[in-house]
Amino acid sequence: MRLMDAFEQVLLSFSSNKFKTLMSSLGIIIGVIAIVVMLSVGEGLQAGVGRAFEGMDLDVITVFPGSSGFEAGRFVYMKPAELDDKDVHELENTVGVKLASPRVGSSMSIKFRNEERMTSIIAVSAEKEPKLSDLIEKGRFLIDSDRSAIVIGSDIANKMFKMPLNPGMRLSITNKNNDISRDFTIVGVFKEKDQITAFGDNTNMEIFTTHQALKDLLGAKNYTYSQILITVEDQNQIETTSIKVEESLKRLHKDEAFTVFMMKSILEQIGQVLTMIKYALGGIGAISLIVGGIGIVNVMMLTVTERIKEIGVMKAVGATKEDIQMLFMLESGLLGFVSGLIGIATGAAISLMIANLGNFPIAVTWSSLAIGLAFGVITTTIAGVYPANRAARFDPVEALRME
Amino acid sequence: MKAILDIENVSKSYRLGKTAVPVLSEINLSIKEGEFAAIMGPSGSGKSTLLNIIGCLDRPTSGKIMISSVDTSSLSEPELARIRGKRIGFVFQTFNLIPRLTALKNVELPMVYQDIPREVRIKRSMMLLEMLGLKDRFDHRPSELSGGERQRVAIARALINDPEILLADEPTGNLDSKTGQEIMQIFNTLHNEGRTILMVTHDLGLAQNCDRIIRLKDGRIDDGKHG
Ligand SMILES: Nc1ncnc2c1ncn2[C@@H]1O[C@H](COP(=O)(O)OP(=O)(O)OP(=O)(O)O)[C@@H](O)[C@H]1O
Ligand SMILES: [Mg+2]
Repeated sequence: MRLMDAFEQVLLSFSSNKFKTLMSSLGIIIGVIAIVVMLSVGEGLQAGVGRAFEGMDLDVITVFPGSSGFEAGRFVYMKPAELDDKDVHELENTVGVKLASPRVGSSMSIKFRNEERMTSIIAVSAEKEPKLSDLIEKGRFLIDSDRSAIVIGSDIANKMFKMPLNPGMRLSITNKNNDISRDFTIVGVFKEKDQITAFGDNTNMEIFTTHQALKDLLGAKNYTYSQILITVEDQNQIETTSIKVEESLKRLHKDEAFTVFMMKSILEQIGQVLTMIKYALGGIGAISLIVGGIGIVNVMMLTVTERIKEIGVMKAVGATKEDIQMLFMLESGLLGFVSGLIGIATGAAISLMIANLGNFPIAVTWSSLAIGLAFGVITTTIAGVYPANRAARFDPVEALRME
Repeated sequence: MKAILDIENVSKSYRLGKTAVPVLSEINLSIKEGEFAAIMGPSGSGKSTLLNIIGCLDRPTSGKIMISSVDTSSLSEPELARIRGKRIGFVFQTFNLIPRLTALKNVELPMVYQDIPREVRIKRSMMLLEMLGLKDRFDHRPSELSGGERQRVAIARALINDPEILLADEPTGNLDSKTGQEIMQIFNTLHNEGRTILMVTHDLGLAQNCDRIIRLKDGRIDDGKHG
């Protein structure tokens, strides 16, 4: 029997039984929808988180005082380490460290022509911040000898005050805790940076100055660093370097708490979790497909039983076992293909709907659709093997005797 | 005339539990090319069983069936399928058309299994439908046809591959006597055109139209010599 003729016959039996055909493939349709939606959610999560981390510096280790407070599952209190120039010096002499740049963050009030705003100001060692220096769009970056110079992020320059701020303009900064006030000159403006605020600093919303200037504002009693940014020499050795960093700091702060933090390891962990979530979701879809496949076996068995007499007639007019087998396999395969198409279309629509409603990161990719369709076809084809063999084995006389 | 069908010592028995129930015993029969023979006999005498064995739908328990000198009792399943499709035309009491398919597609079906191209199929099917007076019914489903029309479609289907022998198992059994006469007329015409036909019937009037009447009783050919 030619494939084209087999197709025609299968299509005819399809169209003569639309309702039953559709009902029987509902399980498969639902399974395919589940796979597509779940893969899309998984892909979306991964892509979304990936984007959030795109701007991250993967060659940076951050050290800050204090700890998460948990050690081996129980709460321990340790005095936070006070980080100062000794630590910076020690870290710069640690193997694998290229730069150790201390930073201090503080909240200040800034006043420009009678408009007053609260914002965070970060003091840095200018010569150790090449990445910040590269970010300058207008004016210049800080130099360590500056005592009343600031560099501002693009949002501060363009959105914070009625008038956009530009290099050369002056404003005053007040420490509300001690009412010390100083006048500053804007020397530079950063270019706008695509950033997700949840991770790392958002330079668009920050003001940078020198340690000397912030010391003046704080009153300079006990000036300790709120973090030290370590740039490593070799990004691939960052794990080893971070262990060395920890050892160096342990020597200086025996019973004090400090945290050594790597963006890279967080990223890796999140990546692993996301991959697991993605496959778990896909797995749920696969299970629904298996259930759908069992449904197909049932329906095809029913179809075979209904058509025993027909099978007898077909054999009586010359159909071979293989012809009958092909007809039924084709029928279930086609059932899978049609259900798969309905499933991926519905799945894609549902995914896009969730994406629109929940502002949720969902990515409908061609590969998810292809996987959904392939699973639909493969499941129904496998499900069709047993019924098709049953159909092909019928003895013609016995089949013809059926009513 | 040479024999188209030779049946030698064919027996058939069914197993019922441990006992074998004989249905056909030592049947010897020869049908010549162009012959129109009727098989008669009481219900349960084994007429259908014999016809099914000749038509390769069933296998004998022992004995030989020679169709144009080929012993079908020793053939494999695919070879039997080919003989059923090409060399035998079967007409049933209950028509046995595929309900989903139109008259034309039902007639085409045996050619589909012989991989014959569509154009050839349609041409020959339409020719046969026209010959049987069903030209304007070609796209009707069986449910849209009368009993007589259905049987005519079934006859067209049986003739499509130009078989060597036409087997008919009570072809008029489900029809009223007038329609039965019409179908019988078709068989007569086919016979006059030279077809070999073997027909089971209960109707003595129809059987008397034939060249020969073969009587079956308790699974044996009743030639008057026995009981
Ligand atoms: N599969 C089977 N198993 C057991 N016995 C069977 C089987 N098929 C047929 N028989 C028996 O074989 C005998 C002959 O049956 P068959 O159908 O050939 O009779 P028939 O002459 O065609 O009768 P009718 O005129 O009623 O059609 C019957 O007694 C029947 O019960
Ligand atoms: Mg019978």
